[in-house]
Amino acid sequence: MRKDEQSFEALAVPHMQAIYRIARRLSGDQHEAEDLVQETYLKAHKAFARFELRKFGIRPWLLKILHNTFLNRHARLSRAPKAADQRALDQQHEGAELSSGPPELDYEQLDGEVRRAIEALAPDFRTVILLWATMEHSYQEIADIIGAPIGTVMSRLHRARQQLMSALEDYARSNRLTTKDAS
Amino acid sequence: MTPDQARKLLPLLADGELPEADRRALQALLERSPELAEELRRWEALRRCAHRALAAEPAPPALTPRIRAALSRETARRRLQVGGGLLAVAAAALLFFWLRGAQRPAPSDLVRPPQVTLVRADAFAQFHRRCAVTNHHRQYEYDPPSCSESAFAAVAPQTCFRFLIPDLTADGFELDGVCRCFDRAVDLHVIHAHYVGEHDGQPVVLSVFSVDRLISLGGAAHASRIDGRDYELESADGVNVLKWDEQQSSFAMCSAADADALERLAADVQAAIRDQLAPALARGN
Repeated sequence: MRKDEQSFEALAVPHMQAIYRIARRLSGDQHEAEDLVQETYLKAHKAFARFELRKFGIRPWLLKILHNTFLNRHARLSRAPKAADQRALDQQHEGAELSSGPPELDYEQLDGEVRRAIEALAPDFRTVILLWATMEHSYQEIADIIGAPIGTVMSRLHRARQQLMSALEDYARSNRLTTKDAS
Repeated sequence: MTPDQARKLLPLLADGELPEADRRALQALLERSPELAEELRRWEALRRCAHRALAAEPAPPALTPRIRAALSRETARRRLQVGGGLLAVAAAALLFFWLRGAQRPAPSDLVRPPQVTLVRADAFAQFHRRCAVTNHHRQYEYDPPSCSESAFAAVAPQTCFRFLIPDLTADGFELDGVCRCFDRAVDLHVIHAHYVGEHDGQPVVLSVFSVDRLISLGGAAHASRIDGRDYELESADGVNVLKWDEQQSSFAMCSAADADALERLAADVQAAIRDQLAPALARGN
């Protein structure tokens, strides 16, 4: 494939909606998301000569750049370490374990609450659950995108879902919703 | 397989991530356990719900043209770099003639008042907040990042109007970045240099905008005269905007610092500006 400007645009621009959607939920702000997408595309454009088109196409590569760009920005803005380490993340959310699976609720009515709960997750968890839910990527694809072992992806996804369910249970309790009563 | 072991595998089954042997064993168990089957249904519902909740947010229509424009600028910048010294010389020559032209107005300018474009103060405030305070935009590559001289050298080959990236280290401000985001919002060319530092003991973010033409903040602006120079001052969204003109261009400073502090700072900035303009003017002459 010729790696010129046109081929980059032809390959990358069609994925902008998907990249924006992740950026929007990662950042929680429309303008911040637009900036993130622009920075992602400029970095990808610069590194395009080194990109190898594999079976999954260009999108996982763009998502990987987005993920790193987001973490760098997040670290810069918060003056925090670049990425939270796994043990710290695990410790942070100990005690959130639920043993009975997702609460019994009418999930057709909970989009807004689920969105809020996902936005409240720590960035590392949020990235994994966004790639899982929005893109429907496999665990291995998510691992490739975030540059972590598949075990880490499974662990983060597990923790993220636990927190999501915990938030939904709290929501159900505070709104006096019981099984099937959410509608 | 015990029910507890099965329970741990349910989310993996819902995600299609279970190896074939485990999947079969679990399916067999699910047929005998309505409770586990119901739990699997909830895992699947949760995933569908998350997918649906996150799916319905289209990108703003202006984003694609914005990205294409940014890519075009980046391509142009690289071509400029490829041209290297020759293009730098050409750009310097253009700047030279432009500065000469700016100093000696054409005859038509002598009889016709210059057109002034209205730019509202809240536009400056918006880009000050977004580019300088929140996102620390760094659109140009230069090293070290806080060096205004390096920044000026990086921006100059891509800019055909007079702009300022003053060195404000003596006033306690470090350059934080340079961007041209304002270009996208209005039909103007604007270089936005932003700084972080302290003024009167308070942390302050400061923006210096160089506009490619004369502008006015409009009728609501307060006019003032400092050290023989006319300023327009207006507040927007908690940010003070101070604007002044130099020949055929306008410049603006933005900060959340109070108006008095900004005016005092403007006087200090003038010295830095004169330092930066002087070499260019000398070359123009």
